[in-house]
Amino acid sequence: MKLISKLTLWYIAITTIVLLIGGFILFKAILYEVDREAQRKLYIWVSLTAEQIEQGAPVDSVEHINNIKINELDFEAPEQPFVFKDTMGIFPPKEYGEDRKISLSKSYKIGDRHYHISTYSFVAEPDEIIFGLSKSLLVILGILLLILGVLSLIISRKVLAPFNSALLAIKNFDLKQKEPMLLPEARTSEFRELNNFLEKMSEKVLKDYRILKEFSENASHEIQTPISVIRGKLEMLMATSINEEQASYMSAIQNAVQKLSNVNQSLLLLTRLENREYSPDQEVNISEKLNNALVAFHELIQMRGLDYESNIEPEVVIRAHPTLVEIMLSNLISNAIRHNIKDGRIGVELNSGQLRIENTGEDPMVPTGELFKRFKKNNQSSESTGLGLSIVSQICEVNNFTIDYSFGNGIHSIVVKFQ
Amino acid sequence: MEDYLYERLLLGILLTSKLLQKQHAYCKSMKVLIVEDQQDLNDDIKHYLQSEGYICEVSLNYNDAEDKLLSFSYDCVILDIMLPDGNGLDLLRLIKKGKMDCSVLVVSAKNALDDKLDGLNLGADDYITKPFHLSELNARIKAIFRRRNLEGHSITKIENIEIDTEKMEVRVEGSLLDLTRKEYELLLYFVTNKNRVISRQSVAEHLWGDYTDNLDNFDFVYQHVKNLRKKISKAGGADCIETVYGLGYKMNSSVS
Repeated sequence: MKLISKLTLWYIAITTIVLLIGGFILFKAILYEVDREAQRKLYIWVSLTAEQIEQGAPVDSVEHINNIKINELDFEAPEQPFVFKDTMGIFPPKEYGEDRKISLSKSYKIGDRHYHISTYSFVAEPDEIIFGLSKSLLVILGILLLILGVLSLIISRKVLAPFNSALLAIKNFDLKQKEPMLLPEARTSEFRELNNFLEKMSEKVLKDYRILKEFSENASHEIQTPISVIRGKLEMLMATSINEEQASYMSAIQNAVQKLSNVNQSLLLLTRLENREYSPDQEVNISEKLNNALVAFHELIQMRGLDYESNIEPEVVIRAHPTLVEIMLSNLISNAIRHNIKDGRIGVELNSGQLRIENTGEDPMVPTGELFKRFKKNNQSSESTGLGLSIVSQICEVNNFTIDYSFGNGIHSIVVKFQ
Repeated sequence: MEDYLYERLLLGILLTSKLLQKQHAYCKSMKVLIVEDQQDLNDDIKHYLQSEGYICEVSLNYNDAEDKLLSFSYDCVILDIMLPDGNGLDLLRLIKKGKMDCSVLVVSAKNALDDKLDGLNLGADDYITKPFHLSELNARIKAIFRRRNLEGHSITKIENIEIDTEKMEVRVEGSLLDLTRKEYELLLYFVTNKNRVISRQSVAEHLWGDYTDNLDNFDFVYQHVKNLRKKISKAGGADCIETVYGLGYKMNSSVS
């Protein structure tokens, strides 16, 4: 939900609650005032009539004015105090139906006569007040909402503009472009602070990234070069006359150097993958790449005596980094060959949605998901670096593929889903 | 006046040396410039290639390489991309822009995936990743020369085995030998590096490429070599592939 709609919703909710409570208080106040005023009026009418009679006005002349009704009571009867009644009565003309009617009566002993003076009046009913109030409150709410709508438009267009452009800048920020975020000058102090912070942060991120990248590149160069030298010298040494014992040492050195070199390269590739140095922005014909890889591995599969079947849909094109796809395929296929059993089987299946590579193999000693972790090997003593699957999973992440590794009935199955 | 004479003299020397370079090309002694900042590695490459009969010159940095490229002509440049004072790809651009008639073999770290594409797009003849085996480097250079036909002929003869690199055919005593693609590559690799010990790793890497853990491919190397030897000796060819104590292989031959 957008910030501005969230604010608006909150504002509407609060306004509604305030209007409801306010309406209730208003209703109570109006009701109280109306009643009090009406009662006071009746009271005045009754007492005024009594006064007029006392001053000698004839009873007939004061009756019927202000709905006054005068009855004569027995003089011996006790004087009645004010009696107030709140009832419903017919409001003339009849067609209007019943209405709220309040009445007041009192008896007065004036001279030697005893008069019972009563009067009544029609006042507004509570539900009529509620109706009127709700109507006006709704109109008020409507006006408020209208203002709010216009206001939120203005706010999101004008006030939140720097915030929105900052958001856009963050979205478009790319480490590989090596450009720090450039944000327009904001007049709101919070946004200015935010922009400053973002600019500084992006510069720092770029700097850190550059340092990390430099480190990995330097490390690569610095380690690869001595390895190259060792290899070169070993090759030179091999050209000299050596005996069998020396040869066995050299062979061991060569294996170790090879392994060191493989581990170093794999780790650096992983670092670069994690640094997102490769973008999956090319059309890659994965069918072609897969076929090439299978041709390259064909002999290895044959020599291992493995049964092999493939079902490859032609011309499957995905968005990816071409070299990374090659590495992924090569790693997956060589894994399927390496971790196979005698007289085993390999199955490769490709369609526009996914790649599935299956192979027979021994039961995994660790949960299959664990094998994506670095240096995690099913068989710790095996000669592989234990980085192959980490690289594959990292490549999948970079190219927005999902990968799943499952095992059942002696078959290891890896499924890579594109998008 | 003196300055002018001096300048003329320098120009004269330059032109003469250029002419001499050209002549080198005619007399089949390939001239190779090695641009690599690591002294040891540089020495190894130079040593190895010299014993292959190439004339090698060495540059340890960008500027020196630039000077040498502008002043002399080479048949092949082995170009490391990461140099202390510049990017090797710029040298490649210079070579292409100046239409210099030399092949370029680009060398870079294995992880610089994009360097490979950039290098080949810029017109490099081949690409090799560090760390490499010298025998592999040698094979790549020979392959480049073969493609450019600089050595003049496409048939290499070793004992009674004839390899026609143009038709990709092998003949023993004149009759065609039926080899698989890998066996052919293997044989060519041995011939390219004849009279040297070639490690099993380098063979594995040559046959199966970069991105596999090569250690467990040794059985396959062994298998391939065995098959190749069997096929050659069955056809009556000389058995010149020797196993060197499990360390590697060596093709013994008197050159012809």
